[in-house]
Amino acid sequence: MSNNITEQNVTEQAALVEDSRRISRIWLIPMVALSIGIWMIYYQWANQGPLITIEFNSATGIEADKTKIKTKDVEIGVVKKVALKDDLSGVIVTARIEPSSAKLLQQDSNFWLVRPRVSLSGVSGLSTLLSGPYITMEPSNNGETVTEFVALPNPPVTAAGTPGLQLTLNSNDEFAFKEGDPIIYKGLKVGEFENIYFNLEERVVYYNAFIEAPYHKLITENTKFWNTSGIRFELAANGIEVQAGSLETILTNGVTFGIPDGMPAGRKITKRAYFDIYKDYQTASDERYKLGVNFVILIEDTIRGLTIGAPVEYRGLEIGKVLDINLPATSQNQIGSEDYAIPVLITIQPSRVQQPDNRQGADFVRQQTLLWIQQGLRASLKVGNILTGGLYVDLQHYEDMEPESYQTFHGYDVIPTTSGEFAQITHKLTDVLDTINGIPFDDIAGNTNTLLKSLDETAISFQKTAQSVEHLLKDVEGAKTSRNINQTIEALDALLQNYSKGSKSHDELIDSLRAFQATMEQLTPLLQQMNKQPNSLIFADGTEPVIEPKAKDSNNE
Amino acid sequence: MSKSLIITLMLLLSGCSVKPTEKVNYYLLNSVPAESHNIARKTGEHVIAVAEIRLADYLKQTNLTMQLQTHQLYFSKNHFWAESLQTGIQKALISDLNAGTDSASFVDASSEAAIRPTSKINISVDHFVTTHDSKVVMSGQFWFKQSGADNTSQLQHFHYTADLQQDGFPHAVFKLRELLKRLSDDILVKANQLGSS
Repeated sequence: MSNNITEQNVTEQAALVEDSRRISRIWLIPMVALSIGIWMIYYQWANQGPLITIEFNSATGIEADKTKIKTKDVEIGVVKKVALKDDLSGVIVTARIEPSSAKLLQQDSNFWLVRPRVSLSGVSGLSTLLSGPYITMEPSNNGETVTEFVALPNPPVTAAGTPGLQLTLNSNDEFAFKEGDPIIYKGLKVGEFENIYFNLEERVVYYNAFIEAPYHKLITENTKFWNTSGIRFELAANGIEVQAGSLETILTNGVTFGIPDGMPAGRKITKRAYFDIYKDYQTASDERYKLGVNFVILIEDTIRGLTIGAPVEYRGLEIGKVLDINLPATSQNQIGSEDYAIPVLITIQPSRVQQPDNRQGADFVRQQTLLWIQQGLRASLKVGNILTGGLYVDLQHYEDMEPESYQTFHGYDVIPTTSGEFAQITHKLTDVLDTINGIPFDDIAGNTNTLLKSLDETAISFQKTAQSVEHLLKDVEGAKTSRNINQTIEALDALLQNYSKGSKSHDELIDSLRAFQATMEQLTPLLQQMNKQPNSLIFADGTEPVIEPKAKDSNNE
Repeated sequence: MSKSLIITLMLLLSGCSVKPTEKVNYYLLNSVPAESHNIARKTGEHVIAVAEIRLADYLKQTNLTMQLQTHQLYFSKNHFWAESLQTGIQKALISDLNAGTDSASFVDASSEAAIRPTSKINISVDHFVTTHDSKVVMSGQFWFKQSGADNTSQLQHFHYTADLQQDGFPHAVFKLRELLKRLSDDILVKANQLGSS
């Protein structure tokens, strides 16, 4: 058996053995695929945009691979990762920006999250209710290219590049504004508050505001800003005045601006400038009077109702205002002393008395006032508004005034005072009461009694006369009326007798009615027959049987 | 030609001819008396006023009435009362009553003779008809009322019938008149009872 196999092998042709190290061509296909894949990865890596990080306070609504980054509603990137900051003070959002938009990533570019916002000044971002929130980038052309940004907590009120003027307003009053509050000019909304900055050191609130073009041309160096929030009621001597800005400012806050009457406009403002916000127009308008001459008045009456800023009037003309009340006491003037006079600091503004608003004007006003004091100028507090009890300082010339010695108070010239209005009224009232006391009421009462008695007698005699006249009239009237009634009754009686029972007229009437009734009764069958058969009047058919009573016997038959 | 026209017209006119209707008859209840009664009023006589007769509504017409069935009436178109039945019955009664007594005189309550009557008699007639079964019927009530007294005497009902011996309304009226006589007799009996009591 084994021999047979050997023989067979010997006879068979030997196999050709070749080296099989050559790579099969079929491997070309995976190689091509691999290279394409590598090329694609490289292409993707090489052409992808830069990764940027944006810092947010919170990641409300931001999701990786879903939240888009847009500029002017064009998608320029997508959020890739959302991670907490190491110190937990915020959220770092990592986003991939498309390469074509990489050049927009300048240092001044702003990012913020767009989501639905509802506020008194408007509604925005409603479209994100369906699409979900997205991040908006406001590109900037300034600054270096950076990849780390800090997002704004809220959208900027004014888009970058909007023509107009940036302003900084400040106020240390009690009213406050917030972002988006309007700036009104003659009822038109011309700008908005953009952001708020509170200076802790100055304790002043600064507001960055933006005035849109072309209204920014209205801003000049003499422009004053004042508050128009809500509705303002002013109770003045000439009635109630109600002021309101636009409907928006009634609901929210707002400021308006203008140039006070009589002031020149001044130069136009072209760069960011600082302005104060005043309480109202009057305050803003008063600010034009810069210089003032200060005086002190020493009030011995009550100063209840007198406020800082209360007007100082000279014969009704407003020439200044109250600067301070109850200045620090001096050694001579202590609050515990019996004749303590409350010191009130007032200022008289030269501009208000047609003097130049400068040093010369102030000197002139001071000299003139001191001269007038010698001639009898006195200050007093008067009630400016009966309802509110508001007081003002009134300067008047009084004749026959005893000359007062010139004195100063804390270095201020003192204008002597005269007793206040209330004290004057009290004095006058006392005089009136004295006069009333002097009236001889007893004599007057006696005279009046006598007069009343004589009047009483006159009245009694007049009553008697009236009664006799009344009787006379009754007699005349009674006789005449009864005669007329008698005649009428007689005539009526005669008429009734003609128709009374048994009279001829009555009998005839009754007979006639009876005859008429009998006739009508006889006519009744005829009318019924005619109603039934109208032609029976002419053509009697004779069908109706004639019924008559029958005798008892014949009836039985 | 003219003859035939005349004949045609005559024929046409004959179409308008009607049979003669029966004549209309009038009847009076209170017939003309043969002799005048002396009804002069004596002093101290009772005067009894006969009030206006109260008739059933169906009797308040001049046609003579006949009851055909229980609830059916016939008003004759040829036989009428000459005066209203109300007046006729009252007059006939007064005549019969005066003829029947000498102790009282009966007068029409609405006449001037009825001055201070001692009493007053009121009569209400419900039926005064001829019936289909050859009878005349009269029924109703009467009552007395004393002058100056508020109360009235007891109500007296009457119902008289009589058979008809002859055909026709004249005999029926005659029989109805007899029924009135019977009523006046009953009234006199009652009046005497009241007078004696």
